[in-house]
Amino acid sequence: MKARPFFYNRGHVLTQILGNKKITIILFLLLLSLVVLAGLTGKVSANLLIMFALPLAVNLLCCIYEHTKRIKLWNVKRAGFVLFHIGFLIVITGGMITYLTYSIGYIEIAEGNGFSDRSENYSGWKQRFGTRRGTGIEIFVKKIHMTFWENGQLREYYNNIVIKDGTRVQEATARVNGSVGYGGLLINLARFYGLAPYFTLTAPEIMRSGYVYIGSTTKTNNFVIPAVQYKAQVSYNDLADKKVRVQIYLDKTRTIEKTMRIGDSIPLGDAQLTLSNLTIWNGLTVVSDYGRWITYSGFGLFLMGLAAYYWERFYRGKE
Amino acid sequence: MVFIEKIFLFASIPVCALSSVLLILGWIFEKKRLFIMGRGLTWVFLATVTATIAVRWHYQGHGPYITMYEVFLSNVWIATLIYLVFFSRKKGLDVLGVFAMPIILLIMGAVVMSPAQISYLTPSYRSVWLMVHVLFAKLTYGSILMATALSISVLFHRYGNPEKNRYIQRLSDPEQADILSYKLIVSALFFASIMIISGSIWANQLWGKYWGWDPIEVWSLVTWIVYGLYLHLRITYKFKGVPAAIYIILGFFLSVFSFFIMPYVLPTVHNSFMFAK
Repeated sequence: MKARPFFYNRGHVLTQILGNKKITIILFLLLLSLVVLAGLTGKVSANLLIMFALPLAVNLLCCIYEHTKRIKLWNVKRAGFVLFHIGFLIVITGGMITYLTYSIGYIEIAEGNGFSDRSENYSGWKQRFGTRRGTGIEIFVKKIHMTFWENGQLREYYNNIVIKDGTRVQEATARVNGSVGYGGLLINLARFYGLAPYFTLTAPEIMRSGYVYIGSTTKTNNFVIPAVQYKAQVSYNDLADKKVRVQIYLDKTRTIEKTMRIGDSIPLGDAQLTLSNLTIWNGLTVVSDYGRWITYSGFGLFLMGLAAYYWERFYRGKE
Repeated sequence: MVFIEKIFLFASIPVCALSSVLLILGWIFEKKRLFIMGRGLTWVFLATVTATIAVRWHYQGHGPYITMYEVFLSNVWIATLIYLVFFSRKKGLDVLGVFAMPIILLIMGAVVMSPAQISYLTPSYRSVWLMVHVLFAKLTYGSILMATALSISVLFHRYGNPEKNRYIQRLSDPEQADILSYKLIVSALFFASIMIISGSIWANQLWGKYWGWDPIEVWSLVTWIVYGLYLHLRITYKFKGVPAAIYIILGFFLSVFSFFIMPYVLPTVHNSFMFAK
């Protein structure tokens, strides 16, 4: 009989211990407590989950090893068992990769405007380790389409966008349930929207203009008119109205109120505030996630393995 | 059309109640005729619920998966269908209706108490992944409900003194009930896995992330782990019989808590979908 190396038996015992199903049950109970705690408190400690995922991964690996080494005894049931444990391991791996690499940038942008995928351009930017500065591709919102049901809920909603990457130009439609994929990025509609009046301030020796984004839920926005430094508020009732209500607070007692349509102006002493344009803005997110497909494929393997294992167990086995 | 829907809905409740009563009386007093009548009424109940859903589907133009009213109603439909198709004609398993129908009657109470306003199909609901998600959620809860009914029958056998109370002998053999509930839990775990992955694909399309630790996501994960743990206990410790039955019944309450109680208690993105704000 061929002599086996010294470490073989020790390793064998170690994988048997670490891959023990009783340890799996203890880990399951720990995971359950952890997730229940997360469910009750609404807070999840990522570090705690990672600390837990590592022993679970070791247990799974050892368990898989213990089953795969008995290669002569392979059948559908054993293959299924190994497959769904590998699937689960891949799900954990995908989740970890997502946790480590995920980045999302949120931007509110009016129709007819564009932005560059760079972290500094986003009003909301979440990233764990700061490794993604952005790809620099240009995203231009050509048209925002929206229709509504009688009760005000959205009926149709999509954006026609143009993506410019160097010399390459691609047109695409971003839908609520249909993100646009480009070079590993996902461009999603964030479902926040509202009116974006474009004001022009004309004063002696100065002309300033810019958008005011009116909030989608409050339908109001407070802003300061540059140069004259008056506080003002702009609001709307309905997206389809094509008009906004403007209130300008000249001082503590004097207020100017006016419903404005495109082209209307409000005189402010030497200056004049004009509503030059009225468009819709909406929120877009640009997401980078390298773990997504790994997690999905892990789930696929898990389901295949589970189906094979229990099919054999119930319909061909003794149970 | 709303009026017709209401007629079918309110007709289904007394039918469900009568079916439950006849099944229970037929079982306890061993009156086969009463039991068969009760089972026949279950078919009538299924027909009225089907008509309620069909009318609503027709005038709304989409399936019953947006408001809580619709979710409850379709859950009742699938649970009744599973009972009638898979269990009602099998000897020993037909008695499951004695436990399942009163639970279904309670859920009908929840249907009636839920706001039944017209729900519009917003763009976020127009996803094939949502349909898969909802379908498998229903299959999950249907399987869990039937496994729970079987587990209750196991407890009746153990604590109901079958020697003295002959009606308990009409229940399925406890060993058979135990194995069947095990198979149903395996199915439930399989369906729940598909429910979770399809939900996460849908979430990724909507929000750009497939898992957001939303309370409903967390509690569905808790339910999934509970049934995963059951399968490990079964394989490792031959966990069966009364302890397994109690575990399954507790698991049922946990899944009901996760799915139907948590959206009311915790701030969750699923609120806006379930209650169509």
